[in-house]
Order: sequence, then C-alpha cells, then structure tokens
Amino acid sequence: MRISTLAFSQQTIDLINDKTAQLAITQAQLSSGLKVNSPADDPVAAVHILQINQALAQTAQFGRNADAANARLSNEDSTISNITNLLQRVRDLTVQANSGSADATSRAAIATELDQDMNQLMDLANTRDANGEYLFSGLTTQVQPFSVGSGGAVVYSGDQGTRMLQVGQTQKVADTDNGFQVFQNIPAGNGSFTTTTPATNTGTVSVGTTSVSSASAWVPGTYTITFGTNGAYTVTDAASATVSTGTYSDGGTISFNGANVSLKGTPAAGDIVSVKTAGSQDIFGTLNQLTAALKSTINSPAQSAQYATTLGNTLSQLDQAMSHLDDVRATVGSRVNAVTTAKSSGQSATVELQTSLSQLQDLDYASAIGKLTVQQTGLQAAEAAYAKISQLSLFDYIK
Amino acid sequence: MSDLLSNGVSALQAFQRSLDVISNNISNVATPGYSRQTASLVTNPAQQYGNGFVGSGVSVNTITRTYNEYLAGQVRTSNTSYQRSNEFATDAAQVDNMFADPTTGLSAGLQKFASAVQDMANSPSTSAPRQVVLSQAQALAQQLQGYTSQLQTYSDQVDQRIQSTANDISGIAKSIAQLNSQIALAAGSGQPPNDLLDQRDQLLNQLSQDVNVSTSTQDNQVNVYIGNGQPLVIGATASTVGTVPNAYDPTRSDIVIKTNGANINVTSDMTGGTLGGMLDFRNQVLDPAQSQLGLISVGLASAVNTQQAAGIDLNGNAGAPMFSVGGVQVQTSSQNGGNASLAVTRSNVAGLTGSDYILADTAGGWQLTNKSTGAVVTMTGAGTSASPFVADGMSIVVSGTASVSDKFLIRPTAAASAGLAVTLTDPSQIAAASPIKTAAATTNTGTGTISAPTVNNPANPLLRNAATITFPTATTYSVNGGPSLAYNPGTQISANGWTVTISGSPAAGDSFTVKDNAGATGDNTNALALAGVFDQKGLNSGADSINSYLGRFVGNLGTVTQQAQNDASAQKSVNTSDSQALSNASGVSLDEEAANLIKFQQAYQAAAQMISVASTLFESVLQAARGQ
Repeated sequence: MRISTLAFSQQTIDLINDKTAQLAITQAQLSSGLKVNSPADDPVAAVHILQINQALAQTAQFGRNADAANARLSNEDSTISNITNLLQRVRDLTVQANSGSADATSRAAIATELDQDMNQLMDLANTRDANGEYLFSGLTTQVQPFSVGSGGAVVYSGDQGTRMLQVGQTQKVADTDNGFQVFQNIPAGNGSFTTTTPATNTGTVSVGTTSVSSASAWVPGTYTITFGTNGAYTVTDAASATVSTGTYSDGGTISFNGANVSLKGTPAAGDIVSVKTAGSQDIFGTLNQLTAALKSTINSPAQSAQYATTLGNTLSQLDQAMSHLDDVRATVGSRVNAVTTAKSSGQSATVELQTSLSQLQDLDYASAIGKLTVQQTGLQAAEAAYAKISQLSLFDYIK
Repeated sequence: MSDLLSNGVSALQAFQRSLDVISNNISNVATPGYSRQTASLVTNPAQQYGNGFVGSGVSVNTITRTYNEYLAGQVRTSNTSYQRSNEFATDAAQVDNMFADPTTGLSAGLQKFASAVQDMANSPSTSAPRQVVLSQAQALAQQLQGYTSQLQTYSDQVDQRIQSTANDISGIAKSIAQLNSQIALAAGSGQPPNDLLDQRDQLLNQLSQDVNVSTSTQDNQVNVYIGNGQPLVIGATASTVGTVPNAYDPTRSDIVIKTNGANINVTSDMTGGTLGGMLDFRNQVLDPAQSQLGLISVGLASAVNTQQAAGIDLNGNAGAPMFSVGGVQVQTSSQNGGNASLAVTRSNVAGLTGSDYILADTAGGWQLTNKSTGAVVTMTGAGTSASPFVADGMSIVVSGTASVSDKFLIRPTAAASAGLAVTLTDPSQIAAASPIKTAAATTNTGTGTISAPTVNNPANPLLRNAATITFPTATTYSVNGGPSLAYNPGTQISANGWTVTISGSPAAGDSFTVKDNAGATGDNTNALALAGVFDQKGLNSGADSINSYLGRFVGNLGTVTQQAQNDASAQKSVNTSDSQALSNASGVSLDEEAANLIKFQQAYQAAAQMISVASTLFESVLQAARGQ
C-alpha cells in the first residue's frame, strides 16, 4: 500500500493530538477530583448529583430547624420548671396560711410574699426567646401574652395557635405551647368539680378535701348541699330534684353521684355548700383568689369557714396546675426527643447521601492515575515512533 | 549513428523533464491539496528500414496528476458531516457548561431560596431572615436572567458567524467560477492544467466545511450545488449567498441564494457543514433552552405568587406577588398579508410545554403547530375575546383580519426569564402566616379541641370573616347558627374556604371560633408551604415539579451534548480515514520520489553515456579516415 508522506505525518499528528486531548481530560479530572465535570460527561449521573446536592442542602436545613426548635423547647422546659417550683412554694405558703395558727399578721405577710410570687410568675409567663419572640403568646409572638387588666385580673392577649417547625421531610414539631394551653386551660377544683360556700352561711361548716370515687362514677352537674337542723342535709341537682339525703356530723364526708366532699365545722340550718362540674382555671386567677382570701377580714366563724373552703379549693387547684404543668413538660420532653431523633437520622442520611454523591462524582484516583500513566506511555510511544520512522528516507542513501 | 545520437538526446530531454516533474513533486510534498504529477513517457514512432523498424527514442507525451474523483467526493461528504457535528458539539458544550456546577447552579439557587424561607419560618416575626428571603429571591431572579442573557449572547454570536460564513461561501463560489473559466481556457491547449485543477478541488473541499456540497462536471468545468440542490456555481457564473432578517424575528438571519436578482430562502436546506451545525444549534439547543428556562421562571413565579396569595404578611394583608415574569412573545411574520394581531396570555401554567408554536391561517381555519415536534395542536374556542383559543396552557385572542397563509410565531415562555424580577421590596410583605386561626372558647368545659385551619380557597371573600362553631349539645354542632349537624370526634368541618377538625368530647354549650389571623406575626404556616413549592408538581400537566423539571432540563442538555460529541468523534474518524485514502492515492511519497529520482538519474546517465558512445564511434570513424 502506498502511503503519502503528508498523509503519514498528518496521521501521526492527529494521533498525537488525540492522545494529548485524552491526557488533558484525565488531567482535568485529576485536578478537579471529579469524574463528572459537565452534564455531558454523564447526563444521568449529573441529574442524580443535582438531586443529591439538593437533598443534602435540605437535610442541613432541617438540622438547622431542629436546632431552632430545640432552643425554644429547652427554653420552654426550663421556664415551666421554674414555674412549677414557684407554684410549689405558693402551695407551701397556702398550707401554712390554712393552718389554725395563722393569724391576721402572718396572713398579711404571706399575702405580701404572694404578691412577689405573682410578679415573678408574670415575668416567667412573659419570657422571650433570643429573637425577642414571646414563648407563650401562641402565634402572635410580638404581643406580650399576659398583662394585668382592669380590676386586677390577668388578661391573655395571645392566641391559641402553635408554631410548627419542619425538622424532616414530613415531620413538623411544635416549638412551644401557647399561654392558653399552659396557664389557662387547666381543670379547676379537684379536676372534676369545685366547691364553694356562700358568704350568707351562718354556721362554721367549711370544705376540706374533695375527690371522686372514680372518674366514671362522677355524674357531672351542678349540685347544692342544703343543711337542715342537726346536720341533716339534702343534695339537690340543677333541676332541684333530690339526689341524696343524710345526716352530717363534724368531720364527716358527704358522698353522692361519685363525689366525696369532706366537711369540717358545724352547719347552721339553711347553710349550703355548692358542688359544680369543674370548668377551667387560670393560674393567675387562682393566685389572685388566694391573695384576696388572705387579705380578707375574718371576724366571724362563717368567714373563717369560707376562708378555709377557699384555701382548700386553692390547694386542689394548685395541685391540678402543677400536674398540668408536669404534663406539658412531658410533651415538651417527647418533642425534644423527636427533634433529636430527626436530627440524628438526618445526620445518618447525610452520610449516606454523601457516600452516593462521592460514588457518582468523585474520581477513583488509583484508576485515574493508572489511566494517566497508560495515556502518557501511549503518547510517548507515538512520539518516539514518529521521530524514528520519519528518519527513514531513501534520500539518505543517495550519495 | 545519427539514431544513436538523436535517441540519446530524446532520452536526455525526456528524463530531464521527468526529473523536473519529480523535483516539483518533492517541492510540493507539504502543499495541501497538491496531487502528485507524473510525466508520461511514450516511445517515438519507429522508422522503417529495409530490415525492419528501428526505434527513434522517447518523448514526454503529457504531464498528468494522480487524482481520485470518487475519493475526493467521499472526503467532501464526510468533511461536511464532521464539520456539522463538530460545530454543533462545540456550541452545545458551551450551553451545557453553563449548568455544569452542581454547587452554584440553578438548583442550588432554588435550594438557597427554600432554605432562606425555612430560616424565616423558624422566627417569622424577626426581620433579618425575611430580608435574606428577599435577597435570595433577587439572587434567583438574577441567576435566571443571567442564564437567559448568556443564551442570548450565544444566539447573537451564532448569528454573526452565520453571516460571515455566508460571505465566505460567496467568496469561494466566486473563486471556483473564475477557476472554471481559466481551466476551460487552459484545457483548450489539449494539456491538463493540473495546478488549477488542484486549486479548484481544494476550494471545493473548503466549501464542504461550510455547507453540504454536490457537484457535476461539464466540459472541464464543475457545477456546484449546495443545500438541497440549489445551484451555487454554474460554469463561470457564481451566485451570491447572503443573509436576510428572519420573517418572525428580524434580529435573526436567514440564508438566501441570490440568483437573477431573486432571493431564495434556503435556511432549512443548509443541513451540513459549520453552517448546518450553527443552524441546528440555534434550533435544537438555544431556542428550546431559552423556552424551557422560561418555563422554569414562569413556574417559579406562579408557584411562589400563588402561595404568597394564600397567606398574610406581617401587616395582616393578603400576600402580594413576589415575582413578575416576562410575557408571551408573539412574532408576526413580515410576509403576512392581513392585519391580524394576536394577544396571547398564559392561562394555565401546568399546561405549558416549554415549546414554541406557529399559528397559521389555513384555508380550513386557524391551525396551531408545535414548532419542536411539528405536531398540530388542537385548540378549543373561537379566538375571540369572549371565547379565546385555548391550547397547551395558552389563551389566544385574534383581532383584525388575516389572509390565508398568514403566520405567527408564539413563544409562550421564551421571554419569561429576561423579565423575571422581584416585585416585593418590603420584607414584611412576605406572607408567612395563615390568613385565619382557630380558638376554643375559654369557657368550654368539654375536652374538645380544634385543629389549626387548612385553607382550601384563599380567594373566598368570606375566608377571613369570623365564624363560630357552637355545640348546643355534646353530639351536635352548627356553624354560624346554621343547621344542626351530627358531631363525631374527628369530624371535618368546612366553610368559607377553610376546613378544621374538631376532636375529643365537647360539652354542651362549648364553642370554637375560626377568625382572621391578622397580628399573628409568629405564624409560619404559609412559610412552611412556601418552602415546599419547588417540589409541588405544578408543571407539565402535574408530572413535574420545578426541581424535577430543572433536573430533566439539565439532563436533556447533557444528553444532547454528549450525543453530539460522540457523533463528532465518529464523523471525525470517518473523515480522517477518507482524507488519508485520498492523500495516499494522490499525495507525494518522498521515498517513491527518491526511487524515481534514482531511476531517472541512472537513465539520464545512461543516455548521456549513449551520446558519449556515439561521439566515440564517430571519432573512431574520423580517425580511421585520417589514418589512411
């Protein structure tokens, strides 16, 4: 076969060019450390790489959201723990005030201390987070949730919403609880019913501890215990129908429709004790009621009995409030757990994603360097061959 | 004796001529397009004597070039294919590289926006994260604008190169026509003008780089046709190839051949060479990329704006649109006879396809054709403002009167990215909150709870009106004093465009409210939905989300580029082997020339020796005569 000189050198130049181009590609891969440098290198892998990068960024974002949720939840947890401690102290003071030894002076001293506790409770309920958002105002996070309204009652200005933060693809977690849920929506009395004695009572009967035999036995409703002479009593319901009758003696317990009401003192004929299905209390209201009772004047046995009833009721309400706050803390704890789990599963997902990303886009250095060596040898061989063969010329032999 | 001398002289002359030809071959060993030449030797007519015919030496009959017409045609064909795919691959790779970086590309931009919205959702009432959302929105808009203006730049560059290639073709055509007439003249002498022929073949080869060429030979002159057989050179006459503004888009060039003063548009016939590569790049990569990128902009703006409208901002107002996009591009053909004009709007984002369309007035009425697929698209409606044509997410109103065969180019999304802008300037206007909220009455005694509301229809005018759900008994409820309905725990209640779920056991007399959420600056309900809009399947008839559409866009671009690159490298090896075959047939081989050189040198020396012998013989006759 005839080979033209120009074609021969052109062919060699083309060959060397091709080999140099391949070497350049391997070199670009080695210097970037990536085997896919543009979508055209591997379109399927390129799209996959985009998706994985997106998933990685999203997982990182969920991690940040989890941190934000954790910050607010631990803030809530410690605030509620402080409130529980505060209520425990209030409960101790109430027990002290309810003991027979408490005279007007000590009651006034306790009332003063309670005023301080009330201020502290307001402060805690109006806690803000690092961003200046109130923890307990629901979704109206820039509105101070609790303030003293007209007549001294504490007013809630937040709403009943709860903010959810996204900590996983589909997982959302509430980052606090609203003030209505924490401070206001607490069962009143003993959780099933409340008891009151009216100021019109003339006897010394007061309500001690109350309970229900069982939650299912208790028939909700509004009942009135009316005393006759010598401790005889009649329990009537809202429709004035008689539910139960009996005779009471000092320190005895009146039971009807699942309710157990233990009483102290001696009722005068016509004295009444009201028993009502519990609605909800608000911690501030309970404290205000307690302070008002402590500051009230006690001149008669009837007033003393009413005072005792109020304090007894307050003690039940404080117990309810503390157990309610414990429940709230438990849900906060479970949410912290959920957030932590979400975050750690996000971290392990990140590791897996990075592994597949690396498999898709990272260069296998060993094989790339091997390829580089082979290509280098090929190029050198092509160059050497050309240099050698181009020396062969018949002209050299013409003398 | 005289024969010996004259034979020797004829041989000397013939061998010298042969050596001249060899020296010319050696001189042109590196000249591209040079075909090796051979002096063809013939014996001179013999003289008849009584005792037979005696040869009378040698002479050079003609000098021919070694050339293979078939191989040359092969080279031109494969060169045209290679140049086309190489041009296309090189251009496509530029666009492909725009979207190459997965960490700074468009998908990273989308993710950064979504992350900024999530950060805002963690603390919606603080202004810094809101500002970041707006900044990321700006960055995203600028990124899309940057891509579209880069595509425009490529389009402009391609257009300039198309124009200069057209000029180049005209220039080559003129040179071929001149050579044709010179060759005809020279061939009149009866000898082939080898070097002119080489020049002409070389020009044909150059022409085949620009465009697909076919030839026919007639009386030593070559006729050249380009494209689909349009005559470029006939004998000594060359036509001019030029550019004219495209009928739809005057900023673009179409290719025309000017023959006898008439312009024949041959754009669609230019399928080979760099010209074909550039036209294909424009039609198959640039235009679709522009339109598909536009669809991403439209989808982005529509998804974000819809979600904005579903929420309320820090000031309690319904969310204002965050993005604005460029409108539908309608280009009227300059050849239209009627005065009809179109008003086209995007009526349904999910219906848009990212393709361009031609709307033509045919004898059978208006017809819409998808420009990428060539398929006819069925339209509903009558084209009037009361009943517009509706097809593929577009709504088209025709006004004025059209003549039959009038045409319009409709590019529903091509201009969208260029017009993408962030219209929201105040960070407080980002609608992070739900427009409504729910609450249980504080006097409730039951254990019933109400869920956060779901907004089904943000456009319901009653949406933000307060509504009360009351429970006259523990098992029945009514909404706003409406009819009494049976309650079961978990019942979904819908009214005024919202749905809520009440669960637990409400007591008789309990009530719940759904009301305006203005002031709930800490609410992130709508922000969470906003962070997820890029994964909502709102494009391509609900088959694609913005993220998945972007993935397919980048993947398609990569596939097209990869195929073009593979094509180009395959075509290159075909072209290389064709060129080598031709070069091996007609090129100069130095070794061959060296051998010939030695051959003729020796022959020349032998012929010279003949003259010397003749001289000696003559001398001996003279001496014999002198000696006597």
